[in-house]
Amino acid sequence: MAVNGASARVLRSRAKEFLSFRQHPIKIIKYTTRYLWLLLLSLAKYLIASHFDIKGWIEANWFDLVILSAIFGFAFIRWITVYFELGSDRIITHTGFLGMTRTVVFFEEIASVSLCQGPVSFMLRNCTVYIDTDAKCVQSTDIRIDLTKSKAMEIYHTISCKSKTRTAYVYKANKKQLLIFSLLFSSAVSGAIVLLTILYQAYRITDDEFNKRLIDTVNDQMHIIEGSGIWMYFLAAGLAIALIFVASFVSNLLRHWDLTCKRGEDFLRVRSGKGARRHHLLRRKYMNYLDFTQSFFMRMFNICSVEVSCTGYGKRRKEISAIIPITTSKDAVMSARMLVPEYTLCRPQIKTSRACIPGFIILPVLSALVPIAAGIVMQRFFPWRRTQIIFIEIMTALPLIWLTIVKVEAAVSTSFGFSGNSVTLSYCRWYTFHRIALKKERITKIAVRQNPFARLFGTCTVIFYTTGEKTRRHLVGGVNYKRTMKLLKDNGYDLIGKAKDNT
Amino acid sequence: MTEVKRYRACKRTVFWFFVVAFGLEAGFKYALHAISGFVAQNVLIIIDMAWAAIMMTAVTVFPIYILVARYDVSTTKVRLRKGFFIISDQFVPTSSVMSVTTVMTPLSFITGFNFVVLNSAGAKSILPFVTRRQAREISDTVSKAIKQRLDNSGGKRLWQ
Repeated sequence: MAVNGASARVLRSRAKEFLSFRQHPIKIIKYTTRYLWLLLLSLAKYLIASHFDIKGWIEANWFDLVILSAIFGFAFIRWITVYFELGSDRIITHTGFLGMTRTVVFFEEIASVSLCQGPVSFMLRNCTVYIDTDAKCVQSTDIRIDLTKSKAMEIYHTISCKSKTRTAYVYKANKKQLLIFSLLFSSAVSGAIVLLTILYQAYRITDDEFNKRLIDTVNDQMHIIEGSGIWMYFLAAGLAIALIFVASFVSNLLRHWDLTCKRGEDFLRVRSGKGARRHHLLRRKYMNYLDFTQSFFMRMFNICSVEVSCTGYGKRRKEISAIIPITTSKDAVMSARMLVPEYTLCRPQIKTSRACIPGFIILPVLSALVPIAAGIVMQRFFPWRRTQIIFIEIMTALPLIWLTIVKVEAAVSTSFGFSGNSVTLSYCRWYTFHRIALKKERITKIAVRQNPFARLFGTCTVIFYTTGEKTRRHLVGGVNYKRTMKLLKDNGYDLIGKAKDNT
Repeated sequence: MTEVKRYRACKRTVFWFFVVAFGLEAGFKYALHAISGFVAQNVLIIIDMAWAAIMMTAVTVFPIYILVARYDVSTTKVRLRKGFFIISDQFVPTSSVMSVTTVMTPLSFITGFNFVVLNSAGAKSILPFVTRRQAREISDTVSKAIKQRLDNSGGKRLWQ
């Protein structure tokens, strides 16, 4: 009996060890084909139709059942063959078809680690682990495995153990501030308002038009058509869009709720989320730059959020690479200084001025004039569609007029400057204002561009290319050409120096 | 102080570009003649005008591009001047270049259709229309710089 007990214990411990290096069992379901439920539905339908006559059901559907078993069998084999090994200095994963792909990642080479959970994963205590290195040739994630929460946390702690020894500074997002600022300045909310306005106007125009035409043409059948009401569709679409926006806003808010960012010796540890917590580790030496982003309204009220460009962070669906969510600009600058002291904001050395406004707004103004002019012409040809044309005209011109206003602000706030090893770029890209803090060695290319008009006015556009998974261009436009070239030359970027002709 | 060598785009390329353009023009005219039987006259005129506009732009722009293009190469930096309407001066530190690709097309020793591509993390710089000798020289210089950097930093990147 004692021998049997001992062997059972050995078997149990072996099974435990075997399972501890495998993915979460839910992965078996994920490995099956996505549209398997269509086959399951059809099988269930036949089973109900045959009044649960199992024998007859098996005889009639044996081929479908064999296919189903094969799919589950293959998924199970895949789950068995995909596993990972955790060493003291590295993680080795066996992934891909039957675990044929072996990936070795040393902890020292890791740029970022992300532990992500959705609502379903949270209930099943399942967690997806993403590990990214700074290998620029790999655009997708280096390692992606689905594990139990406890095992995922074990990997997380093993990788971050060095950083845990000295936590220098902890940033905690103010929840009330986050909620209020998100409500006031979220682009999702403003987008929803614009879309709902469009739909409401469309519904009003359609309804009026419909009534007029009904009265004019089909007076006798009014009671039939009245019930069909096309305006109802616009109303339903409006409600659906409002609901989707609210759901998206709430889920986005929950994802960044209670965000904390801890500065460790070599990693930044970012945690966020209500219920399903997300954990991220960002290696500080692999961070490309800090981005203080603002919309026009946020700029008016001195509000901003701080995002970080680091391989693997913020590239997943519905993820933002924020380390400091929406807060006051003063707070953001202070917190960024404490979290990542190696990134400093420098004083602008070259700035645009009010004289640059025409250059900045000429394109948006011309673009805004196109729909207005087109609307005026259309009104002459189709006077009976005047209301609809004016509505479309306003709706098309509005974003471009808004862009013109944003560009006026951009014309007086674009700048860049160097200070030792640090570079700060302030520019506006479409509707968003960016203030980039980066180190000189992260610049991979600088281009100075001049068109004939810029040559005439002595201005130019400086394009900074920085390291990263994707090409990211920072366009600082409308700056003085001569002063720009001098500043770049003083900082080691001599763009028009002398050379020995070798043609 | 490292020596900076200046390379200019191969002028022969313009001649061969004109030869190709002439061939394309002849082919287009022949195709237009072939379809003239079943396509409306006004449509043919529009197509012909559009083609003429494209060809005239290409024939005017390409020589300007070749005249403007120049590349200064040293072991520490690569400077490029390119463009025809918008002139762009570019600066690529060789410390950021990860690899060099050289593209030599068939008959490029006559045509000059050779390209050198500097692959940096987050940026790509193309040095087009250089002679084979120039392409090899540029590639060797930048490769030497990469090797030197790796030797000095023990195989690690500069920011590590």
